[in-house]
Amino acid sequence: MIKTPQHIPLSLLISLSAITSTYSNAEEVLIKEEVATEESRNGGFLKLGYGYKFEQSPYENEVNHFSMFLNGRYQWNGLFVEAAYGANERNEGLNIGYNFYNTDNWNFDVNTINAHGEIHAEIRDQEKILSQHFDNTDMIGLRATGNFDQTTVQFMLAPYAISSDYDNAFYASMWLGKSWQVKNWELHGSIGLEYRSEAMLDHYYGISAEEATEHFGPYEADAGIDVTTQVSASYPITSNILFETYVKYTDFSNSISDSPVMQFVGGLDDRAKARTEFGVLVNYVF
Amino acid sequence: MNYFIKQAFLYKLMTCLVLLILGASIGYSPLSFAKEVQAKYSLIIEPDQCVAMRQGQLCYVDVKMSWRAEQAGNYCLFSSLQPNALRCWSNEQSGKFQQELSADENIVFSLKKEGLSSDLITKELAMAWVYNKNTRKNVSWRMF
Repeated sequence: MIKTPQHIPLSLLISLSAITSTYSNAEEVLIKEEVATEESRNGGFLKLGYGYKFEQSPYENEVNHFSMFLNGRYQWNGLFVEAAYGANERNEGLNIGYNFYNTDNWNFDVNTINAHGEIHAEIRDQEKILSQHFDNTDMIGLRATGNFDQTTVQFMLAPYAISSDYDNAFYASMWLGKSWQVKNWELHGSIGLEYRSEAMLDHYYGISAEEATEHFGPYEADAGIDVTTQVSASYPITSNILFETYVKYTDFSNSISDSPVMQFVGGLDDRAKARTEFGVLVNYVF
Repeated sequence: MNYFIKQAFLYKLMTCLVLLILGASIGYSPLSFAKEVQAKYSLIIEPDQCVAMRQGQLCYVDVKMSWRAEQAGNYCLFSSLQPNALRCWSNEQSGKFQQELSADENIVFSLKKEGLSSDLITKELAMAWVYNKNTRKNVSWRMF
């Protein structure tokens, strides 16, 4: 009877301390989660692959051999570097950028893009040589990427050329990708449209009256849109080793395909008018 | 009255401590007792890991389970995915079972005596993945 009133404050104290500790724990968890969300954008991954690759295009002789593949991305405080070399519909090489704004579904970046690769063409036509050497066009632009469950959309506008020896270069792209999980396989399909301005395509594919030869007459290229589609399947063998296979097809814009040089090289042995790529590889994911 | 209750409690506590210390000195502990119990039973799970592409995704696995007991009896195999037994055996000393399962967290398999709730032996099938949830936030485009 005497001890009971003494036990009540003690049990109350214990209960209160338990509640307080639970509350402070919840607060800690909440803070940790917020910090984790903010920090989770820091970091990245590196995927190194080796496997068989087949590629046919108007730009290079047929590729039919074992090859290395590299894909990766690392972000630190908004600054990021991306590498895409093979086995990816966005075979864009090395890009850098800054991720300046994010929502739950959208990421907004300023980044570089290799809007067009270099071209070296030297064709002897009768007594005249058509010689064209053009460097890369690296550009900078705004990119918006939306992630909605298994669907990804991306828009990019690149109005500024970092390195080019011509004016009015403009590049824009629009991509749509969707993934499906079938057991432990991941299937992925994507389609992309890439617009290049008239000035850009005419720089690479145009033939001036001075350059023109008997079979390669003067040509003025318009703006054009390339269409790329890819389907791929990936299977995780272990938490670091990934099997992957893909097929990619690019239909070049008429402005490119109609160029006398592209028509000529597209008809050569070991080359084709469109780009087709196929690969089977095993990746190590760091 | 309360004084005597306290004394009795303290006496019991001291007795337990002395027994534990004595037990430990001759190499016997509750842990080794548990090991002895486990040694009477074996449970093998193949594979012991299921790898999904991403953390949080359902991982599909075809699990082969085999168990053995020292004595024949009525045994049941359970998984943490469901309250009901996966399969029960009557008057058997060993058994095999195979089933395709899908889960997004580790699965614990346990062997129990029919009608009893305590586990005779447990084994875990661990979930693993290539890309964790945060990787997705870092990716501006599908790069894998």
